[in-house]
Amino acid sequence: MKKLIMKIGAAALIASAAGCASVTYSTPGIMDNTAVKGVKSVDGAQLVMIDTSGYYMFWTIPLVSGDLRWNDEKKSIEGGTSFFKDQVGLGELQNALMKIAESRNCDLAEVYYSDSDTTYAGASYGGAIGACFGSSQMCVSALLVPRRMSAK
Amino acid sequence: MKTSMKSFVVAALAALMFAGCSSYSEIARWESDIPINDGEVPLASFVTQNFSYQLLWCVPLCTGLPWTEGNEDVVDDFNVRFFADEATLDNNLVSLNHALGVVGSLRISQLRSCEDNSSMWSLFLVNRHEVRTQCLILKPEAPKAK
Repeated sequence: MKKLIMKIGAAALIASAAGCASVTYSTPGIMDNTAVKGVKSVDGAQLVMIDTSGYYMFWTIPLVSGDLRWNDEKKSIEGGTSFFKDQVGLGELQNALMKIAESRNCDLAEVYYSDSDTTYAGASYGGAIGACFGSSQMCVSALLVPRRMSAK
Repeated sequence: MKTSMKSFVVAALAALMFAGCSSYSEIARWESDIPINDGEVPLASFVTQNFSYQLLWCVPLCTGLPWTEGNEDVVDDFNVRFFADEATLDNNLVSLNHALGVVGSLRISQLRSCEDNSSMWSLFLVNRHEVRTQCLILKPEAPKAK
């Protein structure tokens, strides 16, 4: 029984680590009826959302974090995982966003960042163990506007 | 006594699941003449949040459905589906399109989306996935420059 619990725990940790970075695009055309202030036309535009998170000990020692990697073959950013390295930051998100925009020949609009931090004091008895661990999450969303549209 | 306690726990869990999965959408009318950037007074603020729970980050357990019908008074939409994941960027934009239809304007500004994952509360077994989208809805016609 103890072994089974350990196996489930390990699977859960691996699954969490694998989900530390993600890039999501909206379906092209879903915003075609909308008019966004400052953008000539959103025909064919896509909303992109890039998200990274990391887990830390004592807020300074990175344990695992999301890694936004450029895939040269697919010409896109993919979510990966880095151990004992902090890859969660404004710079990483901005670079990923720039690469996506450049590779798709798009301009950017409505660029917004957000971040949140969590500590796990409530996840252990007395909070002593949980308080040693924390996670940080950063996200950016932006509108990818095809250049032929914005050049009107 | 034991049976009634069990029933209570099951009912509480079911209520928690429904409440926790319920998507949240709100349109707040801009009841003021205070302008934002460029001196334009918005029509309303809009926010939509949708949630899903996944076992080990990959098996969908339950999800809230996007807000696609009803008037602007709807805040919590207790519309839940099991073994599916409807908390997506696309579905939030579908809710946004519905909100624009309700308000009667297609012009928006300050559109932003964000997602949030939390799994530590269940010792990494179950992930709570949230996708949030918000924007300002502007009046149908842009004000003429003075």
